[in-house]
Amino acid sequence: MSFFDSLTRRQLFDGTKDSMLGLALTYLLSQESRAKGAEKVQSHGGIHHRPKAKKVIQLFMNGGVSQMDTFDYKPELIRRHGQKETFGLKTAVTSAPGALMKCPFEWKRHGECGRWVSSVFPHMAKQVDDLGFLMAMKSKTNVHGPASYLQNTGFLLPGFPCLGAWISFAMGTLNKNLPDFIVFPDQRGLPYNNAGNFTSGFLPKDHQGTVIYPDRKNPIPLLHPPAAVKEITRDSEREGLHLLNRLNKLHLKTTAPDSRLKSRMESFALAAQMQLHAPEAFDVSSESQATHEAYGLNKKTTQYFGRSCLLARRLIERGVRFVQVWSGAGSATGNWDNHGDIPKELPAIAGQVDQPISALLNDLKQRGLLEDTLVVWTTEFGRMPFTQGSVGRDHNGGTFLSWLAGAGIQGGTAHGESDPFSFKAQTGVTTGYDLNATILHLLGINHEKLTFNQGGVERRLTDVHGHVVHEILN
Amino acid sequence: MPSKRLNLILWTLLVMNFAGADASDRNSNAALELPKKTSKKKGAEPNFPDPSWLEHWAYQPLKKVTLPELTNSPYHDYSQNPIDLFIAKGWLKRGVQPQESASPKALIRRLFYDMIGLPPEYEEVESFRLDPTQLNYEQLVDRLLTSPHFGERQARHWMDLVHFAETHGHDQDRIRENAWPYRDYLIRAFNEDRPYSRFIEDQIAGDLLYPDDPWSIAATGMLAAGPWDESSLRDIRPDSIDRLKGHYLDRDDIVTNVFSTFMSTTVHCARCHDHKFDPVSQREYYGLQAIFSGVDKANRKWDSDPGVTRRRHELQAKFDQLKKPTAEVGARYLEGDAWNAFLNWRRAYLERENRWIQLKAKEARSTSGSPLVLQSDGSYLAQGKAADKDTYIFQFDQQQAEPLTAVLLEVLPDSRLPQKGPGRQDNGNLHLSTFKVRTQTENKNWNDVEIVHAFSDFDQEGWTIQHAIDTNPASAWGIYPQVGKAHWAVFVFKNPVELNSNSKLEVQLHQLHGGRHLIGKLRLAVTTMSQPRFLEPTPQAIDQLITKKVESLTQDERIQLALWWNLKQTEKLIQSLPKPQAVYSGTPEFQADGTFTPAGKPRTVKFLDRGEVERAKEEIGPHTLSFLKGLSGDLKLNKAATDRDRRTQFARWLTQTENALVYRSIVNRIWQQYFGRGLVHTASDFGLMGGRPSHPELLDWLALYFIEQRGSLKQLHRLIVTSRVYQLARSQVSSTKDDCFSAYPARRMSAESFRDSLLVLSRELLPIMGGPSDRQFNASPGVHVTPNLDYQGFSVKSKANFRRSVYRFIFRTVPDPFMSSLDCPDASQLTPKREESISALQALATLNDKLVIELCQRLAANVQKSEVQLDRQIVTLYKRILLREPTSKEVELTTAYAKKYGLNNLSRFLFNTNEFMFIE
Repeated sequence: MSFFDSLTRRQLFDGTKDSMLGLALTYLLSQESRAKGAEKVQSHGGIHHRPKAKKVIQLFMNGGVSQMDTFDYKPELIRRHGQKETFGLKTAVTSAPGALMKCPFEWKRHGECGRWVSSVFPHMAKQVDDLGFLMAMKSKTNVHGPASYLQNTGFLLPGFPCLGAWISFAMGTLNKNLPDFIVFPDQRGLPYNNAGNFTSGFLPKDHQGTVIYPDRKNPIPLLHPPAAVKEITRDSEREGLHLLNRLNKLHLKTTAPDSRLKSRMESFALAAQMQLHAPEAFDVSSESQATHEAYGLNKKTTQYFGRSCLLARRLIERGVRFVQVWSGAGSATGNWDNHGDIPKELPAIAGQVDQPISALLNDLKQRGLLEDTLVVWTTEFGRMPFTQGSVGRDHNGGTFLSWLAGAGIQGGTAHGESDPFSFKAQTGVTTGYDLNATILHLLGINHEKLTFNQGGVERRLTDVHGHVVHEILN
Repeated sequence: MPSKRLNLILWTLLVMNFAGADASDRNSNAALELPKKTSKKKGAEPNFPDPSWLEHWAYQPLKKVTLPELTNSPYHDYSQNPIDLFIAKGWLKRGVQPQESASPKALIRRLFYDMIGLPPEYEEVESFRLDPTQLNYEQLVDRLLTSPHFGERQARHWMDLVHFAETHGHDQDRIRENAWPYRDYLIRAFNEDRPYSRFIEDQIAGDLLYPDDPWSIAATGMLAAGPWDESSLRDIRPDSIDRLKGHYLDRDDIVTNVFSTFMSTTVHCARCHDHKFDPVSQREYYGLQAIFSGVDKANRKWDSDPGVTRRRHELQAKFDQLKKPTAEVGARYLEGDAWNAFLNWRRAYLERENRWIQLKAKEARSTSGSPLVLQSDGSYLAQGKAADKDTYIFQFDQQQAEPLTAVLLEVLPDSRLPQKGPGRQDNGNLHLSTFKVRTQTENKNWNDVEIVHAFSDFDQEGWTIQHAIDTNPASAWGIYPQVGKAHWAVFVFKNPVELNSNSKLEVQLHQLHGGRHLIGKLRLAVTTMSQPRFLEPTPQAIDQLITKKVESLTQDERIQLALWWNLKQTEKLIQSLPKPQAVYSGTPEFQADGTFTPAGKPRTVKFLDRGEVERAKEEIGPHTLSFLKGLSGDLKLNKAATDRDRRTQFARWLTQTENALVYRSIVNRIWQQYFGRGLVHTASDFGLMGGRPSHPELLDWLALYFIEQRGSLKQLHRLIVTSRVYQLARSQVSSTKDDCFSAYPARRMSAESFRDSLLVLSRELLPIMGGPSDRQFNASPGVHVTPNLDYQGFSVKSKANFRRSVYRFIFRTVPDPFMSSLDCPDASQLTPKREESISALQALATLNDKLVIELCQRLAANVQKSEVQLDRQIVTLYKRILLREPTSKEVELTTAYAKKYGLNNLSRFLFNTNEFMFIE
């Protein structure tokens, strides 16, 4: 319940004075974009060129999705199953290499494009004609922490701003009543690196990801005062903000002109607006029964991830720039880090996301949102073609895959190929830098020009790397 | 709509203009200084760097400059402080008119916040306002310089700079229990005004250069301030390529920190290739890594008391010597005090009363059913599966001639127990919750025997023997970490107990802490001594020698006795010292943790082509940067050099007065603290792409002054804040673009100052300095190593809220949302200067945060205690928060509000006013 249920801007400012909010917007519109090298957002919505996408949903599969058990079909691996082949490795990152292991699931071709998909993704298999795959991505590391940082921030070390923060920094929001960048972690907890994956790093703090646990009582931290404080009421706050505004105005007359003073006054008006509108965005009760069912909200396995996907759509619909949904926490099991038992662990986690993701794509498409929304499905690295223990697989930065869908993506395409064992990326090799460069490109941003000076160094999301992958763009 | 940037989050001109300034400055640099990059073939190192790069201003020696002469200018009376002369010269040159002097109130308020990070009191402002002379001002400055809060404020700046936090920061974001001593070192060093060269030496090699100063050792926490990848460096296979990558990246963090902080140089840009803009070759970069390849980020043993450190070193040396003695050493103990002390002890030993009677138990059982099996030495060994909790019960019925006065419990080591026992817990520990004795006569009721006191040879910290005789079953006696050894405890009866033919004695050992904290092996005995005591058994051979007449002892026997006794005494003295603490630091010595082991000798550092471990080339030895004119980067070390040589030589190189960059860097940082902008505006980058000094002469003058003052930071602070320039009124625009320093740059209060101000003004600040950090969150086990943190649910009443923010525990990957909203930086990044944002989320935080609300309630209560009338209360609030009386209009508005919603709500909104939030 909001203390501001009935609060409107007009009430806030007495109806007599000029609209403080209007002032704020005028002020904002007059500003240069704060990204150096980046001119302001153009009328076409991009910064450096006309964009294809305006908003992004990123689905991050935490732990390292096994590529050769999902989308990377390898007949040679099936043929050589059980043979000893360690590719010259003395050791994998956490174990000694076992024998080659074929995918334990059935393979089928799907869609007009005829993409191979294993039986762990029956729903996603129906979407392949809308997906553009990067089939041969590689990472610099085989360790979750640095690999997750690399994929999210472009650096192996902590503290660099992530993709969502850069986008928020460059483009701002399309809806002033909600944060620009929202993160839904897995119900089991935060991913590897915790909130380090959503940090704004050295970028201003207002660009960090706002972490939302939709099942908690106060999903947005600090949106409201603690309910236990009795003397804070709707009226005390409404009149208090009014008082604050009057006092600040009196102060303006006594001090030197300083645009920050006005900015701060506006920020309270916007805060009140956010209190009013944000809770509605996180309420799925108004969605139809059919929608609930499509996203799997009625089933225990898909309920949580499904709700996050549905909320992602609601937020995108309301103009949030970047929503990141995580599957899997930074734990030893219960995510995509299937060291022990691919036949058992992989279908379990895949079953949690398969139907919701498919539903999300359908829903976005039906509502026309896929026109200007980019959906990205990714992970931090792949897995080894040989076993760990009897039927598990160890980490493999050598090759892994991602797919993109929606605005600007040519569905039914695939770029790159791993070797016959899916051990190493072989042709059309891409990296996390390339993925991020492509995402920025679709948003109308040249990744080489979006920079921020940190301690003397011009920093970029893509460090000194990155090429836009035109092969999957339309 | 003209633009989509309908930004929810409002932004400040300050930052945007600052970014703009960056761009233009950089461009002008480029035009002025950057030579066309010579076409460079791969590996054609001899061409690097372009010789003209070495002419860059920052690499030149400090220039002696004469003070500007301004006698015929409007600033002719500016000669009191040399800073004013240099700055005024700039105004004249650029035709800039400076602001008037600041009002006394603005001046005192800014001085307090800038120097100690806390607000002044109304009375302090008033007394200055009535007599605002330079003399009074300088007295105030001196007072603030000696305030312990000065060090706290300065330390917080430094912690930003070196990315200090108390967790590892990667996917296994483990808590560092022992990182806080580094923070305490900083506060002490700034308050003591340690000379800057010493301050540098401490942080690079304090453990080697000043091993007797515990704070110099704690200073090496700087090397370990940054993140550490536990997964890569401890948990994955040690022979994997990723382990090796982990080491290179970890050293990169150290090298980046050291060179950004002390030399304002971005050496880390040369990890994958020669530096694109500065004369730092890739080869040189790996030489820097080699300086630190002998240390790791880990806990090293440490004593905060230097006396204890010294004593521990002495005793340990003595112990080692006695352990492997020569005849000469033994002879040393046969005369003088040492021998007399032994003789005194011997006399007491021979007169001792140490009569303990081992009784044979009629019954020995445990409530869990685990068998207690009698051993040949009269002890009992607990066998079978260890229960979570258990109680052992022994009954005795042997008749005793005299009444019993006490029970002796010995807990004994055994190779069959974990860590050799004496406990059954995995770590060898035990927890005795309650030791109970009772008697029964003629099969009648049992009577409890009251135990009047107990003593033991050793108590685990927080788990003393008193806990075994209190009534609280949750507290207990433990022996950790002294596992694998025998321990004993004596329980003395209040009244002697008869044990005759028709009575029984029962001893119960309740062990209810859980987690298998059970006794593994024990022996019980009773005594009839009136003053029960227990002397530990002496080896038989020694016992025979002791009982011999001293005169009849041979020289060899005397030596044998003396050595035995002195070794034992030394061991006891070592054990009686306070438990060694630990400090998380950059250290060559630490206890191995799995496959994370000390390097032993410095690890091999190789030249990594393109920065890739897979493309490692030849080994690179330690050396440092060679771009400074007149200062070689040769440390005169070869590849076999020890960690000691590497770090001490480097520390010496760094602190030489010829190292112009080091001294320019620090004076610029202190300048930036006060003026919001450095004389070089890129405080951590003085390279070719960094900013050019706006006042190069002043910069060098300050650096030389600082060196002349023996690196006294306090003198430098004093010089700056007593300048007229610092005392000017605030700028008319919100900008730090002003590189003429013609006005004071107003700024929004930092997260820490906001929080600390609330604590001070509500009169709730706990003025306790130092020690472990305050955790303002509830932690519960997470899915893996990193705990789940709950900031929202943390009790607002907890004492942990009420110290200054510098003592806040900073959790790297789960930061406090309230502090983040006010731009507290990501602690994984070096932050030479904080960003300043204004946003709706920030407004929500400063209005709705539970601590803000709590402190406003306490402030209101505090004000209501001293003033009864609402109008007086409001005046008091205004004086306290805004340092002035309210205007009549303000009285009208605030009274109306407070009448309806109370003083606490009013004070919350007053804290949120721009007038409070901005320092001008």
